[in-house]
Amino acid sequence: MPDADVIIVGGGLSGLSAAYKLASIGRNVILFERGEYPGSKNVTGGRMYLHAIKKLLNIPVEQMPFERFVTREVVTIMDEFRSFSIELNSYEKGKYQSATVLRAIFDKWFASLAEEKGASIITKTKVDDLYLEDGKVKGVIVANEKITSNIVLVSEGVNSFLPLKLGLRKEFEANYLVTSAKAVIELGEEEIDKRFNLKKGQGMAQIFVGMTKGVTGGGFLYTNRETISIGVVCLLESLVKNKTSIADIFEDFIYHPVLEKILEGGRMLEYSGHLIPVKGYSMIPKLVYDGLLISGDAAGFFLENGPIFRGMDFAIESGSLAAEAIEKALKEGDYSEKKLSIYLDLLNNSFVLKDLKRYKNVPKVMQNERLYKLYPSIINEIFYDFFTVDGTTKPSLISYLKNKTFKHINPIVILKDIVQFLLYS
Amino acid sequence: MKSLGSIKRISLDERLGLTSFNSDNESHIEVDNERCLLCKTKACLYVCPTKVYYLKDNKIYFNYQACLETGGCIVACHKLGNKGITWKYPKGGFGVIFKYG
Repeated sequence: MPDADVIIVGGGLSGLSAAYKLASIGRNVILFERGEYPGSKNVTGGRMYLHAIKKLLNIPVEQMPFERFVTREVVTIMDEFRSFSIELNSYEKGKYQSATVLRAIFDKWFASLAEEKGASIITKTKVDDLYLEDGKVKGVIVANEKITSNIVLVSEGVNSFLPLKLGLRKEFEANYLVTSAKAVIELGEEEIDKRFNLKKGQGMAQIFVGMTKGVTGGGFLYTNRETISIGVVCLLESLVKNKTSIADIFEDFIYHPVLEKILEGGRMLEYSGHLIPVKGYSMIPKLVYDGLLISGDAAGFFLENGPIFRGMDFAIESGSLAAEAIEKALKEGDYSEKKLSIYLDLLNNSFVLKDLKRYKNVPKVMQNERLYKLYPSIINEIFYDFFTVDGTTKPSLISYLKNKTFKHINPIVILKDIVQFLLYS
Repeated sequence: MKSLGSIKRISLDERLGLTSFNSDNESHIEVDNERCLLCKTKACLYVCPTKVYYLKDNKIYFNYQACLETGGCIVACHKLGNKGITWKYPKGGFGVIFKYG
């Protein structure tokens, strides 16, 4: 007899979703988390799109430990001295799509739900390796001891070391990943309501571009209940190419004049960082093996589409679908790759792989370096000149573009970028 | 409402002081400076949010206790550098402990 029906590696949203679901139907589940508690190694920008967690848990989202429900979306295009913003405010009551969240708090709560259902969550324990018999996964190795199960779910997060060791994925390239630097800054609940024009419980999500010194990346600001989450994300490859440190980009960003009054008087509580898999569909590993499944960030399930960043809804749904596939396999006592491939069918029929396929070319658009310095500065210049009234008569639009904008960039390049955007978005 | 102090420039060291760690006596990072000496990009210097790696007298030094465990250094080093870094997660229960995340 194995030690458990299922071993889950990693207590993030994906592993916890699977543990919750399998424990709910009475399966013997052991989840290993290397951190002090589930959530202690986890970071989001961030906000969660709520559809997946709503489907999994039969609890109103208002009763989950979210920070604020997002009603205000802002995109800010910056250069050194100016900023230009687009914003969407939604005043329809009770129609929330997303909420801001702090993962150390949320995941800890979610883990307690899974434990109530009967899952064993073992913290401060790192899984060093998979345990194989006759080439089939039969458990894990923890502190030189084997712990056996019929099936192992790997939801160990973005670094995805176990699938690499087993040969299920290739080594990451430096343009597969962005890294981030983030701070949580305390401002107080009423102060946040006032500064961001929000009613109690409502939140704002703001994305910034043009403040990364030409490095492929951007900034973010999310309002939590009493704090704000602020930070930067940058492509590894681009940081090295530009010889610019993510730590310095972070520092210059939070002291940019655009943020001066917003952050005034704030008290920093924590500095954090995390990797994000941004290559989309093309970086997904082989997801199923004899006795093993992969879900969440470990499977590369992440989508970046302009100002929209989604990893957590994919993590929850893929963990949940992995649990469904595992339950079917356990019922039939067949843990082969062939049987477990039901997981692939479930993913293909869900938004997880449908969306990742739909947006598979978006990384090509997002990794165009002109988006991060040249275009932001041009946009700011155009609007600054448009709003300028100083007693001189302005030239016609076409001669303005010819004499100013097209000095920075050939219009054919702009056209090419627009065509690429239309084709790949 | 409680009073809020004025915001001042906060250095990386001060920022790091705000994050909780349970540091192991043993390092989870190793650096082979023979390889680093031949490394043209020094990729590790740019990708770490806490600047765990730093260059002094042409050698790479590192402060493993400041590691936020992103794992970015290993990809940057192995793909753009000269594979001088060996990096694995700290032992279970050790390393960074995010309180907010």
